[in-house]
Amino acid sequence: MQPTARSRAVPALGESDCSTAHLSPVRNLQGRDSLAAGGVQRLGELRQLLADKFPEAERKPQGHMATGIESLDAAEGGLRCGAVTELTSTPANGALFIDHLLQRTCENQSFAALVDAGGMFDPDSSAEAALARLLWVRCRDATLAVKAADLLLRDGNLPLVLMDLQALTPKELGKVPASTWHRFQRLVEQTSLVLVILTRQRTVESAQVRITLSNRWTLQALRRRRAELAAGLNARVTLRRSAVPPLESLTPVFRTA
Amino acid sequence: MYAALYLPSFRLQAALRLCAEGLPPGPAALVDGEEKKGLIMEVNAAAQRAGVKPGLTVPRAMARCEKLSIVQRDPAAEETAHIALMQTAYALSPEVESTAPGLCTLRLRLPRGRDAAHEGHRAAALLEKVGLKAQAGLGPNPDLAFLASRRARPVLVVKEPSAFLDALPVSVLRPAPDMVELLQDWGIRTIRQLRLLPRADLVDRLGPEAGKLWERACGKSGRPLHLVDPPQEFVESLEFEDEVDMLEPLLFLLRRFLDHLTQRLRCMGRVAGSMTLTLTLERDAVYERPFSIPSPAADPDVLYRILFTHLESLRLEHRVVALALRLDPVLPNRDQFHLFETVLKDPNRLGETLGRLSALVGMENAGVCVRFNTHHPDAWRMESPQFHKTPATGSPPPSLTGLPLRRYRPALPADVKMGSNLPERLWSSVARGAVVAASGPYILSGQWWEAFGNPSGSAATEEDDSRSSVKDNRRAAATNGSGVPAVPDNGDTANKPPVFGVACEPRSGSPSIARGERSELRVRAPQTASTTAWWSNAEGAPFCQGHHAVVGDPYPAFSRGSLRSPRAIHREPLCGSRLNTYNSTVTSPPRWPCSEKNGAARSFATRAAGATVLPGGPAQPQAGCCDTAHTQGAAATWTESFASVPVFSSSSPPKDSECRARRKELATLEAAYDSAWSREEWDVELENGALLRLAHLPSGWTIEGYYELPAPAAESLSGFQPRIVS
Repeated sequence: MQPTARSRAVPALGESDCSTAHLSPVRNLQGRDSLAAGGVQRLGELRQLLADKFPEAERKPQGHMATGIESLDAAEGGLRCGAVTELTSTPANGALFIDHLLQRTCENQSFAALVDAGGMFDPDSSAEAALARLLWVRCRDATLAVKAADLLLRDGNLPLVLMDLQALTPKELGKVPASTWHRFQRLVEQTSLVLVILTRQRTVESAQVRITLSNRWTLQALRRRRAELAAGLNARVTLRRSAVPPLESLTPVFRTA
Repeated sequence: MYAALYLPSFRLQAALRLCAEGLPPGPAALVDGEEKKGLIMEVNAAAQRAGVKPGLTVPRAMARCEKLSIVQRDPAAEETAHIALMQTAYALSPEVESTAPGLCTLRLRLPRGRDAAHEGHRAAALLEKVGLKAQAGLGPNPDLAFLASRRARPVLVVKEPSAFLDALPVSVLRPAPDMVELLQDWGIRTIRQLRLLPRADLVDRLGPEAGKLWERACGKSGRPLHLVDPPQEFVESLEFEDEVDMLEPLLFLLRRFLDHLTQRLRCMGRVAGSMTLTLTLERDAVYERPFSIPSPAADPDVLYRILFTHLESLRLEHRVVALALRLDPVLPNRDQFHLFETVLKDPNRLGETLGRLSALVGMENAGVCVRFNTHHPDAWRMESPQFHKTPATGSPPPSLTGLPLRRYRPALPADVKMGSNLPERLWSSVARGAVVAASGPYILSGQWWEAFGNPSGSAATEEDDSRSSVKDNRRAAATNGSGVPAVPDNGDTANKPPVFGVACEPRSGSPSIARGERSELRVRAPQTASTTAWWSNAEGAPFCQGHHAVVGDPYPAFSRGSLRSPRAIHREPLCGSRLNTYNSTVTSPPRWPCSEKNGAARSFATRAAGATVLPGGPAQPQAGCCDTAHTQGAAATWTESFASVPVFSSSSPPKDSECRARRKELATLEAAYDSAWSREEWDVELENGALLRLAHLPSGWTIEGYYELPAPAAESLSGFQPRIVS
């Protein structure tokens, strides 16, 4: 009987198919090692091929922007450039973090953009010099905020983009497709921008770095100097993804002990 | 070496230059629409070949050439085309003469080894980029250059004048008509024949004019150029034959405009600093939109993107009948930045992005926030950012106090149960519960002094007015710190601190008194009470030592009134009113600590003499008012050093005329009080950890914003309805 196309596509148990040879449980260990090493080599070749074909997509080594917050700078070195950073915190910590970054922006004579979903940013709470270097975009909902952030990331002129989503409810945030955050990551990694997305709880799945601020404040905090409050922020890095692992660090998947 | 740039059929070219379809390849003729009997004025080469000549009537011209296009003359387009010619010529030489419409002569100073023909071709190419076909003639003098330009195709360089002139007819030298006839009678038809005649005999017979004609025939005549500066005007406009209601034709023309205008800018060594788009609409409506170019440029792509970004979101009520675009030239910007200064990569791209953001969220929602010169909460306006012009700040920004606020816009209604001078419990749609700690009240009011017609004592100068529409002082001096009522309860003032007159000094600048002007501040004060007033400057040191605080009585019937509702004051009867002025000498000005947060020491404050002022001492923790230190310090000094000043004393009732005048004045005051505002603010901490800012307005309590707000339980907050506060 002539084998059908279906029966040819699925090899029978015990048969060897060159495309699935490395999956066969009966291969010896030495063969596995050589195949895995060959896979890594082919991966390197593939990367080289892609880099030659799309030189503009080559990822450049990115640095960090120091924040002046001791706990964060010590753990991560600051905010990673060319990556999406998600900051989950209570509103007070988020607002304090934004204000502190604006102060740093002013000291560095740089510029920043704040995509303010909900439009709750209070200019009276910030220094005028910092306001002069801030592009404030007020958006009434998450959809507009995503579009505004997309425009700013594609523009690439402002080195720091803050996206404040803490005023939105989880239901509103849930309307943002997950692919949006992946698109943001693709946009940011081509540049040296710092993108910080402030949320109340974990939302951005594609974030390269996730930071949590866990301070609690009372009314006494309203009488303390803000610089002291910001310096005392307790930042904890809960997620740290590397951008592209170097080839040397790749472990062959099927290597055995 | 001189060059003449000549535009053949100039008026026809000018009329056809900006036509959407461009220069028609077929025959075309120009007529003057102003004249009753239309005669052909100019024709192009194709029409000339078809037998159409200038001077024919339109029917005769059409009879000779069926496909002839008749074009109306456009004087405005001619002027624009001539300006474009002059500006383009400026790229070759700064010595330019506007010889005639469609003709300019310039003096070229060519470097050694430079081919003159190359310059001619360059001029023709530049003019072609602005939509003009030119002929360039170059010669040793202006007349020869002009003659060469008429025969150039498109460039002709006269190296041997005699050889060039010999074959030309005498008429090209433009002699007087009678002289032409005479020379023709003599059989003199070419310039060579004329040149062979002896000059002296010619002058003897025909006069000195003939001598000049002979010199021109020899190519020896010279004349100085009448040099002009090309106009710095970069405008292109077009009036449509049919109304346009689509974007594409506009964009097509705007692109052409920009190509021409930027080419002219480059010829003049300029770039566009701003541009203005004017759309003339049906029914004589005009839409005009200026554009500021962040980084001045002469790149048509950059300018086109700015226009395109704006136009793609523009909706007009009527169709467009005319279009104009004006570029404002500036010198190219060459900035030397500081070593560590961060600059924008591409300011124009950012400008384009801002345009898109404005289209997305609205112009009022994207930009740089600029606060008004006021202490009014949430008083700011949005401006278009000028990041590339933002000066580098040498010093770091001043450190602030407390947590940043997140503000509700508009504020949320709330119910607050007051305890003993402190909020005790809160109900609202976002938070509710018992208040475990509170700070306040921060008493604010503003603009009530405008009722006095911009008193000079408030230091509200015209400059301040231009920057600010709201004048106020925030958390100013007049508060009793702990919230204890400071005057005996007379009904209206129950549980309210007596705040009499909190005048202001704007944040910047000094009051007029510092400039030696008369300091006058009118203070709301009880009719029979004594009032003390003082000034202080921005550093907290009183500067009115030895001067007067002029205390008036604008509220004559305020003996039992309250400032809680300014309008209520005016409802009181006017009898017994009289405006008096008293001077008080400040003998020992107080020095009080200046609270950074409230800026209290900048303000002027008055209090009724009967006010209960707390003695100095440690701040009350539960009050937590940032004005406490100031008030107590001031109070301590005040009670020791200040003398009470009687405000009003009148032994006789006022006359009717005075009463009428006061009624009129108070009507004005009442109108001004419509814009006055006052409020108390509290910072409270709830039992669930929420940190809120509350405001007590005449209409009731509101939540202005929050510092900290735990996620509320939705079911516990549903169904909240604020009480109507009477």
